[in-house]
Amino acid sequence: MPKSLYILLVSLLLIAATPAFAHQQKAAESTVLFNKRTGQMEVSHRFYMHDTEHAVQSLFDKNADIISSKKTQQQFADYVAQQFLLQTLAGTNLPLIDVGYEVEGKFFWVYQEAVIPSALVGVKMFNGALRELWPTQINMVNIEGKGSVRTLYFSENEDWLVTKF
Amino acid sequence: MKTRTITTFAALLLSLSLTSSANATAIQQTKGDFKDKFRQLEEVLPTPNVYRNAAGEPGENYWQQQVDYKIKVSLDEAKRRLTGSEKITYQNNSPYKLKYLWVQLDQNIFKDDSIANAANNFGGIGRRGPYTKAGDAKTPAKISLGELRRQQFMADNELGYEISAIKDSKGKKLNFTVVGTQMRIDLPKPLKSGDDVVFSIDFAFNIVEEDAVSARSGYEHFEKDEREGGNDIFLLAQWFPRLHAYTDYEGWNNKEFLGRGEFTLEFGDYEVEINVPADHIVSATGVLTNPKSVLTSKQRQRLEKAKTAKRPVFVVTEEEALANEKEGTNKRKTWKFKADNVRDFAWASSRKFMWDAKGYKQGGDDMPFVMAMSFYPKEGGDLWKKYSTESVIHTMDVYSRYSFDYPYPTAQSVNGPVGGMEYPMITFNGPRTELQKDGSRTYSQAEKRFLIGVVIHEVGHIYFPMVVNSDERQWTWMDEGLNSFLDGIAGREWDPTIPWGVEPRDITGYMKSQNQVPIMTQSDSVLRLGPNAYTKPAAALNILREVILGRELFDFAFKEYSERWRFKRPTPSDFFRTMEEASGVDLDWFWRGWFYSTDHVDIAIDKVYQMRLDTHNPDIDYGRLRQIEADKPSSLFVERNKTEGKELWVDRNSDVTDFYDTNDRFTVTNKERNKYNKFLKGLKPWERKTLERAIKEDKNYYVLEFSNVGGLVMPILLELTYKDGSKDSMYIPAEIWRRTPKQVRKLIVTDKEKELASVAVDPGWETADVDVENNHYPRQIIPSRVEAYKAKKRTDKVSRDIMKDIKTELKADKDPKQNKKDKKDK
Repeated sequence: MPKSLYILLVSLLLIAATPAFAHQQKAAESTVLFNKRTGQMEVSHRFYMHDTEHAVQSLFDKNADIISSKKTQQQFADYVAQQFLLQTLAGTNLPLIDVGYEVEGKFFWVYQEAVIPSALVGVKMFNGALRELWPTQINMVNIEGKGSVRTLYFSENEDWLVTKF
Repeated sequence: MKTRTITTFAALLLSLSLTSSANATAIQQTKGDFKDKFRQLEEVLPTPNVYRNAAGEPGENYWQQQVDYKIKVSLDEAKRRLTGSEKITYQNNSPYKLKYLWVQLDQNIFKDDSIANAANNFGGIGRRGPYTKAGDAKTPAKISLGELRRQQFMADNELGYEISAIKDSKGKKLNFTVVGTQMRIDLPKPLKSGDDVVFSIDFAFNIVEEDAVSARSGYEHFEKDEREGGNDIFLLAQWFPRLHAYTDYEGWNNKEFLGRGEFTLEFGDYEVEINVPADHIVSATGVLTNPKSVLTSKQRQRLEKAKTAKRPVFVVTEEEALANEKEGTNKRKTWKFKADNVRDFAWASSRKFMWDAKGYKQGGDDMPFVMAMSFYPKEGGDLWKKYSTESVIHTMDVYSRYSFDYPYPTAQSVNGPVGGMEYPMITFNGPRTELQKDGSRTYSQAEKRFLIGVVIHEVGHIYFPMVVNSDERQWTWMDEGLNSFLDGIAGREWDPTIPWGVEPRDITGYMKSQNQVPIMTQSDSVLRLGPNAYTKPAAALNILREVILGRELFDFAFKEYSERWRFKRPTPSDFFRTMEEASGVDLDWFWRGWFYSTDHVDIAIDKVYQMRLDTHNPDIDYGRLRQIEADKPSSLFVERNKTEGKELWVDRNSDVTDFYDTNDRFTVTNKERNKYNKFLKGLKPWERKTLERAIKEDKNYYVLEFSNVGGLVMPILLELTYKDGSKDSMYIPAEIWRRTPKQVRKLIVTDKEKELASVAVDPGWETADVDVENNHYPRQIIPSRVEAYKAKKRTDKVSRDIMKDIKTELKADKDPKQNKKDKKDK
């Protein structure tokens, strides 16, 4: 146990030889909110504008401009939706509906939702946004509305992660 | 299929945090579950001593080593190789005898067998960018091209230092032992306190391609340049063997360079001679001492002109740089630089550079004049011409107000392959323009924000940690957190419409998340460096300034910290102690909560109830009691009987009545009045006076109950809304949580006509409260983000495609359709 812990830590701390400036954070935060009031699983993804600014130029084309082009914003929102997948513990897909996107200050938000299935005891999740592009990208997902907050980190070679309620 | 549950990870983290906290808590609460959130930090902070005192000041015997370097270095452009020789004077100011010296060999991080690389290989191809396709975990893992490029580059190039000789001042060889990115040099005889030793190191290394290995320096190749073979920009940092720090709090800083934890170094004086191709322009830490040998007289005239210019003056113009990058030369030139009292030395060299400069009249005694300069290739374009040097000056202007005058003669911003990195007097910044098909160069709004933001941030680092010399290898937050806080101030003074800085709300998602470490964690062990070392401490300082101390107290204390530790080496405890004793406010709870724990802020208002003063006067109290009884809803049973038309006995027999039909149980008799009078007689004069006044004023008494869900104690910011529509704000200091950290009550007394309608906690989102649903009494439905988004009409002007819309033709007045419509409208 102590040995494996050590190795895990070393590999963790190596993932980010970030430069001194964090303008490009290469980090996104998402929330999966089980909203009892609306009966929906509401997904909000928060990206730093500056990350997305660089990302869209690599993902789409060199002149893609997420600040002023609606087309690029929509493209990026679609891309995020493709990269975020939910399944039941048994592996059945839980398709999400695109709600929209918005720019708020230094953040770009993407919204999705789906009806909360009955008798859901946990979810499997995949969040690949920007990770293929940037090896150091970390996507944090908070799962809220099901007791205390649970957090999943998608980084390095994390594939599907599971949380049980 | 690879499926890993979160519990494994959480368990590992838990065991980690347990081990670390076990060391810190000698005193334990073993009965009950009381947590002393206000426990003084003295038992956690290092014991004050003659080197660092209890006030957070350098102690009476404060010392630090001094290391002076004289370096001659030569750049082989074709081989991308640096060869140098350095003469080091190590001054032992410590009270101790040193038998050996430790040197940092940062270039060795690129060696195959470095700890960083060995551990890098552990995950095999799985580490960087390995990736199974979304939705189908059975597809084989892919390796990114970027990672392949990195591996190929490392395989094709011999990387790391080649140390050819280490000699003492008489030319005698010294024994040395290389341990990864560190090297021990054994001294022929122990270096006594107060003595110095001179020795030399000859070194060489192959420069890494920055884009291939993601380092903090290296070369960038421009293959499309007209010159045959293209051109390079060289950014050189961590390029010479540098002495490790030896300190009163840690001895030698023997922490392997793993890539993330940056540097801790000693101050010293540098004389550096840089030999490069004659057509290169060199930017470096310090002041150029041989301008006559490397600059043309025209360039020197322009530099002179720049001193008093309103806008930056080109020392090398774009046309000159373009002509330069097309040619090449076999000739060489040596640029000589001198830098006093700096903790490092970096430089940049390229024939692609244009160079602009503008003098900054700072005033004051320390450094009345500073030359601000920028160096960039054509790829930097107008973005750099307009904003780089101006941003450098703006940073000095703002930072100096919050800390101290910029202490060096030059401040430079250089464009190259590094996104953003800082060194004394010189910073490397990445933003670029894009070449369009028509040959023009454009840049996006985001790139403009990036340039201004990154220059402010990196030049800000010249203050923290280049002058306030905190230990970056240990504590990233001490320079990044403080600097992110200050760059937010400078950014908002540039143009507040650009979203700068850190708002408390930005950090709530991270702070409520499960897996995190306290800010007080060594740099290399922090799980998420961005939110942990930049955003959270910057948000904390913001809250400390705006909410807890107020600007006046905070700014005074922060300036005091900066001045105390200018050109010295502070530790976290020096910061905590100074902020506390200069502001005069006990902040131990704040440091504990924000820096030493992973608690988050979540304060809930659970209940509000009203109380009314008993007057003891039966003629008042009995009437009130009657009203209370009357206000209660009547029994459903009785109501239903009424609805059904049940006739009552008393109604059917209205001729039978008695005393109690006209006198209810709240009827006052002289018995009660006599008792009241006796009660009044028994009161002391002051008691009677107080009661009389209270009865006359008949104020409203409300008790507010709060609970601390998040664990982090904070002041309670209240907004009280009254039935008449008016509002009051109230600040309850964090100390209210001192003895009952989970739950507290607050009594609020309002005038008779000020009846409370609702209460809100932190309505301005100033404290990073992660759950606003429990911030209202009575509870309100707070729409979730998605609900709010769906509800609001899109008014977000930022998403307009103005570049396209601006080409829209203006419709002429004679447009018949439009005229018709206009008429109709009238």
